[in-house]
Amino acid sequence: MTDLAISAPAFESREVATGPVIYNDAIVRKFIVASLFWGIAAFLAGIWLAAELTYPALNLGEYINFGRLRPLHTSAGIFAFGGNALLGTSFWVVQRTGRARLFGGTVLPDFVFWGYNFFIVNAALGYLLGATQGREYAEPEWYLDIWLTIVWVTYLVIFVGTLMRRREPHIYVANWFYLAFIITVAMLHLCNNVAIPVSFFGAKSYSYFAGVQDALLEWWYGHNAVGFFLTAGFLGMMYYFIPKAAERPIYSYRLSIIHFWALIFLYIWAGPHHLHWTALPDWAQTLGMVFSIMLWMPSWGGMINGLMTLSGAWDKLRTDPGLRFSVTAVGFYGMSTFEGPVMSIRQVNALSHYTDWTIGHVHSGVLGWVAFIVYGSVYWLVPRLWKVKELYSQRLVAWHYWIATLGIVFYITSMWVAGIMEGLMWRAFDRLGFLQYSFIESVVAVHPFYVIRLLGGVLFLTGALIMVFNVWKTIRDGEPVPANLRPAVVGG
Amino acid sequence: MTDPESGARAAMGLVMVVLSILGVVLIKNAVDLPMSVFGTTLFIFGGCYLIGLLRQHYDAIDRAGARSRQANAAAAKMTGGRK
Amino acid sequence: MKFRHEFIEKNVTLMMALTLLVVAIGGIVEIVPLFTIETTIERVSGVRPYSPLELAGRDIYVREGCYLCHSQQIRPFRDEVERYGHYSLAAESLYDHPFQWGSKRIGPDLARVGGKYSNDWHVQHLTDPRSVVPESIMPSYAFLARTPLRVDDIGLHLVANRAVGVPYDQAMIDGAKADMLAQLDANGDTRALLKRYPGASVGSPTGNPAAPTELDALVAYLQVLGTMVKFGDVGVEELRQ
Repeated sequence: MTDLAISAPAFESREVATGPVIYNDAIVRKFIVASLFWGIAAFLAGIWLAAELTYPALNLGEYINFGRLRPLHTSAGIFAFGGNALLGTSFWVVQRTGRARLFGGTVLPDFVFWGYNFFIVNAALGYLLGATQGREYAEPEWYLDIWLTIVWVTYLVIFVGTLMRRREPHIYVANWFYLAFIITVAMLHLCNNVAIPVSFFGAKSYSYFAGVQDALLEWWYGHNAVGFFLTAGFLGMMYYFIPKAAERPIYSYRLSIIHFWALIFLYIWAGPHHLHWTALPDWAQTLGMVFSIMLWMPSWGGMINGLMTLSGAWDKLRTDPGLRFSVTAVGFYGMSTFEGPVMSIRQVNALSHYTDWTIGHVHSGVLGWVAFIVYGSVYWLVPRLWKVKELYSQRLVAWHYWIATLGIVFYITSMWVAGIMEGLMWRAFDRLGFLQYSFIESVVAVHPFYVIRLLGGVLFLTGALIMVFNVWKTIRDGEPVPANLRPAVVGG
Repeated sequence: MTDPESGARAAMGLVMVVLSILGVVLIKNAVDLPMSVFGTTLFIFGGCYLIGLLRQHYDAIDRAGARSRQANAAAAKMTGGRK
Repeated sequence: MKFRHEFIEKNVTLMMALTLLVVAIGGIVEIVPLFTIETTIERVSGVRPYSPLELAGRDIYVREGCYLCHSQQIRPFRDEVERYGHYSLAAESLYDHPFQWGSKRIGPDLARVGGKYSNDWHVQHLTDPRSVVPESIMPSYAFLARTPLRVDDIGLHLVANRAVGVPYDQAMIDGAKADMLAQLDANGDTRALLKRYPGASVGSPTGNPAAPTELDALVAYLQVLGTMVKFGDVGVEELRQ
């Protein structure tokens, strides 16, 4: 207690406990199971959507047509699959890196778990029934926005409370990213969802802002949902689970510092690249473009830090298929964070905007980076969470890896081709100076690539189902770690 | 009460009661289907959560009871059965 | 620098405060001036609030997620202007709560679809897209023709829009239901309606003004898109941002 109190800054004096830590792992188990469950749901919805675009007769009736189902897929992928993984891993990481039990007993963390998933279920039901705000990645209506705010504040309280009772004086880098994720998402959520309900007993509301201002507000939010929910949060995951699996420290402490602050500063400005050549004023578009290009650097800083952590441990990629996922994830992260700045250049965007190239870019990020880092982290976590010796089958992990990677490759390459083809067809003039193609001709032209994309999605889902089977068998039939071989601290 | 979290559970239980009531109010006054559905899920959520809290509370008491019985038995063995 | 960062790393409160400060800057710099720089919205006339029927149609457009396949924002490119019409002005979505510029064109841009196709075409296309465009991948919205339009509470929707800044006056709010029904009746007296909402598309697209459906509202909305600003009368100066 004494030396810790002296080294802590004067305005943060903390009571630090002594004795063995009893971690709250039960909550982490819940979140991981929920994440995998929703992942399957999200991928199934995605496949149905891809199938609807390929065979429109599949738009059955009023409730699952493309327009109503699409937000279900995006919310399930980002918030349900991704969100549960982030919340669960953040609770594992903040406890372990601080050697402190989670703040809030079991009552508060359980509320975050059930409350967050209650939000997800209601969002999904709402979309199918027609309750949507019509803003991408912020579709849930006002009453759910209020609910989420309550849950999110509780999450922040638990996370910060646990940091405050840490026994390690330094806050480990993964927690900087998780904390930035939690705080920034709160800011984005509150500002982008300002709305007036028509009636407090009805779902419908109208956004406070309109037109061009509303557009920038939405894409300031939307891009930073990517930047902080899908990037900063998962970088937090990466910063813990890669060093753990590789049994190596993070490559560079200084790089962590520089790229962290640069990333969280620069990302926020990138929103206007979603609005190039629209009625958004030029000065804002230029700012968005320039900052998006600069953003390439701290993003690759993260990639370098993650990949170089494998120095001296590259042979583990042969023997640890789970680590393969994490490292490949960082590779895809680098790819997507190069592609993004390229697409933010106005001249490139003039071709890519509104096309399937954007969809390809999104999915290289969410499948290649987000899903793969989740898989790598979950494969490492599962035996430890359920206190079994090892995963049921390393071979199944390898199968998962190759099938999923193939699926991603099909997905993104088909969308690159489709997207560029659309862009070129829309702007083509014939020799007489007339538009060469009608719009419907571009729809017909991309059909084969929609079939390939559908196949890619099916492969990705197949891989995920293999994972669920593997994890289930591990939990059910795994050989327990003998009590005397467990670590000195006791998991709750 | 040997449930160390009984205070927190009671507070959360109160919240769940309020939510369940709110759910019923929403169902009764809803002007559209999505809000009726939300009221229903809120009511079910609050109710189930409350039951879960009660279950955890009594499980905690049972566990504490079992622990103290174990401790007494161990102490009795050590002192050779004499109190 | 390493020493100073260690100071932040050992202090949660400082870390949180600095993080919030750092992430707030970009948004403030980019978003606030959009409200203070007057030329953000071009000085054109003609843009008006949606009529009650159009607003109901717009609500259906948002509900069905039409913006996910159709954009409403024409870019200033030669091919786009040729295909869709004059590039979109910020002023034209002034009363769009929320904006529906869209981010993907699985179907064509709709910013200036108003007046390009007849009501019959829209009804046929929405009911069965492939009967009009055989290779279309659009879902069928036949169910909208079977769903009665909610007429009684439309006034509340205008009130909510007024609360967020759309200039509906009391006469518009009081007459919302009447205006909605009047817009569906081509044979009725639409002078008051058209005085309040110039250029509104009058008539029942499904041919039954006594039983308005959601399809009627959606078509009325589509028929007004892009028609409010008369570009023949607009000079270059008015378009400056």
